[in-house]
Amino acid sequence: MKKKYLILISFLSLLTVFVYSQDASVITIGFEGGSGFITGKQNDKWNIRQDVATSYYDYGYNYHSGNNSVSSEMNLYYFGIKPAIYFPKYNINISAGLRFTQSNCYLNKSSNSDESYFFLRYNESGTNTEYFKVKGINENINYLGIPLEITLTPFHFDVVNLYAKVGAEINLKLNSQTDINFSNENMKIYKQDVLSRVGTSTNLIYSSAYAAVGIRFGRVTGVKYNFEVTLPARILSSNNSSLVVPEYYSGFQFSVQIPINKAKESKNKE
Amino acid sequence: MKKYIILPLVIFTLLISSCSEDYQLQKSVFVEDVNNPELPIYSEWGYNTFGVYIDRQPFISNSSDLPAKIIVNKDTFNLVLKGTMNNRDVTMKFSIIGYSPADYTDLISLNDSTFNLTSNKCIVTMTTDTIKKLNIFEGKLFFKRAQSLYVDKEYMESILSGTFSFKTFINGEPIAVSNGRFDFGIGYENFYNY
Repeated sequence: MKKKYLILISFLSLLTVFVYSQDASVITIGFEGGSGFITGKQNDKWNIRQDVATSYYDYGYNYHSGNNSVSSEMNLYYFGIKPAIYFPKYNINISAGLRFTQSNCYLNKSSNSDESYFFLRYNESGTNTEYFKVKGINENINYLGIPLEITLTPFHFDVVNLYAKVGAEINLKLNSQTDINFSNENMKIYKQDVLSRVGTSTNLIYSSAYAAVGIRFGRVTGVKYNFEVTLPARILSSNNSSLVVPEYYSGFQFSVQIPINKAKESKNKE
Repeated sequence: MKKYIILPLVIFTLLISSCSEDYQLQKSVFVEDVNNPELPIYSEWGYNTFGVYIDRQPFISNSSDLPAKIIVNKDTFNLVLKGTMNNRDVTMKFSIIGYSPADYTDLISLNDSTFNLTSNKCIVTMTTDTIKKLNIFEGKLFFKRAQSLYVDKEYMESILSGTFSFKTFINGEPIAVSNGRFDFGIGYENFYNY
């Protein structure tokens, strides 16, 4: 874990050194928003009765279907403010800022029916076992973080440009909430007991390293509109959800960059 | 007139909803054991499955037949497994003389119980086309875990999970019945005492 944060700190230090050693040509303030989809597997700490196989033919050619399965999902939504400095000599843009991220995780029955439920094992003591019928479990976690990004625009065109980006982010957890949607409303009184038995505490830090490709509309010294797709990326931190064990992250981002400073070099270039 | 239409509809809806609740637990949930291909995993969830190798042939539960029935007749406890082997319907029955639970709630007494299948108090029969009483020379039936299952704080059924294996003769040839495992929910629909 320490190694991952050392990489992030090194990345930040290198950026700082680079920024101070260059003559910036254009400084922009950017506003970004986007979402991400995280693939992963269900966290084993929830004891759920389900068919993990999807479908299967036995030796006697009898069909066994897994329509009782429970699926997990994790999505990220974020927005932020991101000052950036553009260096025309190298065709790169360096940005760092502040980003608010909300993570939404769900455990639901795969069936589309509103009345469908799965069995959550709540208690095992001696020869007694207790299940609850649960329609779904969801978890929201809010983070505040710092993204650091380097964008390379290899070929320059007047208004439309393609770019590639690498970045990393480190986020601090602000708060989290886990909720259980019981099939029987009267069972709500056991929610806290279930949550404390399962243990829903998550990591205070969420961090990831990513790469993206995108398209930019706008002149170098004017307002720029960016749309980018995040390539499958690695999540560096662990235990970021009590429902899902995240593995890979992908998504898209829309951002606007407004110039607040136009250096001489850039004007000369125009 | 409307009353005569609405009332049966309400009753029908209630019946449907109550049936679907029970059905979730009665269904078979087959999770294949990667270490023993074709067999279900050993589980204690009440998945309503069983599986065993008869030599190399897997004899397993299927999703259409009720995989287990417990029939208590006088002083004899009968565990009847119904499934498929090599695309044929097969039934295997374990009879234990001297054990007679009154109801499925009493099956908890089987928790952590082992029965020696070579004993004269245990009889195992297998039915393919004909009923065969097996002459067992080695083997045991182990009820590893018996549980009383409560769902949303209401008692629902007993769960019986365990293992079995034995050696016998079929058509004069020695046969090994190995890696047997079962996990059944036993309730009103599959417990009989008469």
